[in-house]
Amino acid sequence: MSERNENFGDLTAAEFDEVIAAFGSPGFHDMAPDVFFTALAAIDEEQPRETLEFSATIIDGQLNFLEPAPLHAHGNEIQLGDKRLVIKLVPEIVSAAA
Amino acid sequence: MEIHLNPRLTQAHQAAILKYSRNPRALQKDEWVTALAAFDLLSACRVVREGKSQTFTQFYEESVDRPYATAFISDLLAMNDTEGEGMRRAEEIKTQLLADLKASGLSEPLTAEQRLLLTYCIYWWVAFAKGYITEVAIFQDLARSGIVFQAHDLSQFSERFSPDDLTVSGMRGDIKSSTYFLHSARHFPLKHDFYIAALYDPRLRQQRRVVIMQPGAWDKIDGDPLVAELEQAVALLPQPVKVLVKGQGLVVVEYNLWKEKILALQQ
Repeated sequence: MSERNENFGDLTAAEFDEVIAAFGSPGFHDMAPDVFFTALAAIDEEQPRETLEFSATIIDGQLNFLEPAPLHAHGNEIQLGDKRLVIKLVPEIVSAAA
Repeated sequence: MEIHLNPRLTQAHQAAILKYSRNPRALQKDEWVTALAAFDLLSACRVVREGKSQTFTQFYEESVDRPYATAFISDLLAMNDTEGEGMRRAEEIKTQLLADLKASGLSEPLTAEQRLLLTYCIYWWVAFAKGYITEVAIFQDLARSGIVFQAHDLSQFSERFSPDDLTVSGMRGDIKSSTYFLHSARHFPLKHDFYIAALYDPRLRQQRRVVIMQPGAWDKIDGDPLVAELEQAVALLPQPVKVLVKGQGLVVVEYNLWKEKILALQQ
């Protein structure tokens, strides 16, 4: 028998109140060590699930993303959720040993 | 109030948030990444009220952080028993916050979307509160222990966003609750020399702190640690262990041992 995943819409008001109350319990946010290291191990093993490809040209020494792009991209900037990624081209650093 | 969920937030993500919220211990290893990713996807969900559209992050900043965060930190800095009194104050604010949100339209019967917004706000409020309670408690403990350190000035709003929480013997440090550490470790290279993370020992019913260091920071205060797989680390503590996270070596030691080593270095 497969177990259906319960979701927020399935909860009674009292059950949802219990969820909200659980955040304040001592073991939430400050996790038990075994739980913390299990979560860290999961992060360690996480693989990228999606590849986003951008095309760009260089105009007046600055990167310029082209449309279409998989995320909002303008000039040398990409908007990712609440973050703005700014890609800057810098002069090549020539190794002293070269 | 209208809520538009991020189209990338699947039913599986929402179920993982619920399972995690009810009991983190119930998550299987492979469910952890889904749960943490789900909280990221929640950030980009949108709330529309009175013609204004905000992401959940912006809603949190306006409705939770701005009215409550600075005053809470000021209260913490004036407390004698930061951990006991601080958590009580955080709970009082949580109750007030729920009343505020109810008054703004988030009252029963709640839709699943509204419950997700409330979950997002309370999850991050408690994470914020616990993080700062631990931070202030650690600053007080280090001072009592005679350790010389420089801390950012929490009474100044702008200092909340300083790159380092503290500097000890030239090493840059950050203090985090377990969940903040996990969210950071998933997204960003761990650049600080050390992280003090708050864990909780359910057997002793008390907080248990560890320090997670770059190998260079450990070398500065001691020798070779035991090398362990991540999931073995907990069994080897309190011995210092070295683990790999995304190819980056990190040394994990008990907080009290770290303090002993720092004191020896400073003396």
